[in-house]
Amino acid sequence: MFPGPPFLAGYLFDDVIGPAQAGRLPLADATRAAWIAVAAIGLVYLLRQLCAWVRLRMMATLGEYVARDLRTDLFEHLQRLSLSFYSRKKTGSLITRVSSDTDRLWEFLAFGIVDVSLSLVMLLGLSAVLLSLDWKLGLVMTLPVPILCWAIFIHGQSMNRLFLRAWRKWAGVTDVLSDTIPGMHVVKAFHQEARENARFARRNNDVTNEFNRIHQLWTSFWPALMLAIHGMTLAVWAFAVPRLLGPEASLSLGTFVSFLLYTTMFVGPIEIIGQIARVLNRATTSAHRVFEVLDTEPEVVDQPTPVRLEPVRGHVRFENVSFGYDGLRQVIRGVDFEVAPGEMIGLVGPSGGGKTTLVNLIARFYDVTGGAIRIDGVDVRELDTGHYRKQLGMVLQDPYLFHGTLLENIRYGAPDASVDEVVSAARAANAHDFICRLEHAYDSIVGERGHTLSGGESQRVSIARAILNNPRILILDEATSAVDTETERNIQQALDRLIEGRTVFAIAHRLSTLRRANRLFVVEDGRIAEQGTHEELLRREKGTYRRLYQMQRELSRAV
Amino acid sequence: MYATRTQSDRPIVAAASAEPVPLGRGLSLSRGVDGQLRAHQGGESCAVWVCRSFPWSEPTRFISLRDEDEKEFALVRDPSDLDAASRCELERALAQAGFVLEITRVLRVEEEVEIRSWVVDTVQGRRHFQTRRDDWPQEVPGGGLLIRDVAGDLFLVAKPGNLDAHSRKALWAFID
Repeated sequence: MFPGPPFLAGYLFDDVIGPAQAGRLPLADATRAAWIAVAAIGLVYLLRQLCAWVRLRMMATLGEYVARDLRTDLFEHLQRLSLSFYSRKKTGSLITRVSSDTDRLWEFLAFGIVDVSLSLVMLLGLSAVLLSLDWKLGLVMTLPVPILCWAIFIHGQSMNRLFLRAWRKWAGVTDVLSDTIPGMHVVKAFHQEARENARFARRNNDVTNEFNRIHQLWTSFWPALMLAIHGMTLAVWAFAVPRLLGPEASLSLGTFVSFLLYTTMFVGPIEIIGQIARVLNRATTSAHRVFEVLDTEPEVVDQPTPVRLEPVRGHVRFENVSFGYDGLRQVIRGVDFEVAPGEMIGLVGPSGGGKTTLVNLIARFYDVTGGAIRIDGVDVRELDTGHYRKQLGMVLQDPYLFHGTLLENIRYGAPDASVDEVVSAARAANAHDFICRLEHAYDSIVGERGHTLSGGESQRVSIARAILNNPRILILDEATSAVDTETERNIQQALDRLIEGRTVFAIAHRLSTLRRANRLFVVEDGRIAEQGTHEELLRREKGTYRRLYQMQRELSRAV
Repeated sequence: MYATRTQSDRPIVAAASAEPVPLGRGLSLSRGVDGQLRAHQGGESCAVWVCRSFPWSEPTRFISLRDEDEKEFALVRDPSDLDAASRCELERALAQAGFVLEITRVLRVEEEVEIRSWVVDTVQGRRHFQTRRDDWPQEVPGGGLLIRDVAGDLFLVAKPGNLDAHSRKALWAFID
């Protein structure tokens, strides 16, 4: 149907216009036949566009659904991956994989694949039509096609290599962005804007140079390819003119006009196939980035029938636990202790000693490499991790508030909590007062592009969130380290209410914040160097705790 | 599939809480000779200002009564807990404290380079205002649309579905 118009044009010239002009066909008949042919051409054009409309609509919509499902699969898979994955990948890179990379794949799926497939079919079909129309001229057009395809293939290989370099350079640009934008505070504090500008400019120039190399290649290849195709057309003329004008006139005008029109249809598919190298490269790179995430297996996985403790009592036992993040250096070595339900343990010690690693292991963000951690007598690896973590609460040094209202943030772990419960939790966290002073109170938007809370305020919202969640095991990681004394007092009051009746592991450098701890563990070089009550540890002459305590006292006296 | 281990030797610890939320019960409100709202509870009396704790999600409940030091004197969980006269005073105070212009008609929304210009009719009259282009109107609980202009003033479309056809067309891109 679609190759119809050139055929009809040929028919018009050979069987209508020519005979009519030569007097062999009555004018009325010729006119009627001509208008029928023109109408048929019009109908073909209309049907062609209708089919294009259906195709474009279907493929665009289908591609959109595929991209949607891909985004969903990708995001859901990200939720399953362990924390170790996030420490290896930059946030910006993960965000672009879910957003722009899937978008690029949509474009390729919706248009790229179909266009190329249709082009190949067109090419084969047109070749058959050309050969059947006039085999000699047909050979002139079709014989060089394999050579052109080979040239396109070689060109694609060259583009692949160049794209690889270009994407590597592009990663350098996004590295700078994902480094400096979150750290803008530091950039400004040290007045390094000019330096960062220079760094970005260097990377930006590098990537521009690489893409210019790509442009140099395809902008040279492209006209060369078109020249080759036009050369084929010229060759057709060269072979056709003698036959058109020669004494035997072995080629009719109509046939030649059809042939020329078919030749113009030949160019389109070759053009699309020629461009596929660029389109394919971009899509392949995006696909690689997307499937790199999808193919990553989570390191912390549940057993087929995990155990659910109803509820968690809070008995924690470390049995000769060892752990290393990279499998080489042991960060935790042979740690052994037992904590009764409702006990508060203070974790102290020099930075890098392994305190945060211990609490990360309790939360099963990582699996131990040796020994076992038991919660209420059950190995934590046998527990239903999601169910277990719902009974865990964490208040971290850097509280993170999602973009949303304060009500939503406090309710994050308990979305069904009533407003009464939210207010009670906020009061217990000493947060209700400052929240009510905000313009929209609990309906104030916080997080990115929202109202900015101070560190102490964010911390108290974080505590309210933990209170509402009603955890059985509570982890406090330097919860008061980043605030002033008055705020610390407010937060400490809130924490005192929070820890009541729960098993607590509290990391603090300010030893005063651990005054309610039943026992203290001094964590040094991945081991529990000392453990005992505050008084017991102070009695050790050369103990690390005593030394730290004395240093802090001297510091406060000096201030 | 999961296996449940029921551990019944200790009940779930209730959420920690501070002193009970002072409710509207036992609380009464009146107007002083200066017109200032006064709250009376447990023998104490104080000039107070009203503050909605949940202005969008629970606009009629959880009204915080704050003193001149901005400390909470009482929290009215539900105005129905108050006697009729106090409830009346509370509602009057809330009406006076209103800070949002309610849009009744959207006449025009025009996009410029980085600014969106609005011409609207509100309960308080016609208003022209501007918003930043990437400051999208915010949906509030109850289906309303809240718009903050560059000066920080708030405009509310309480029920976008009830607007006239022209207004709905102007807002089409901003509502689902």
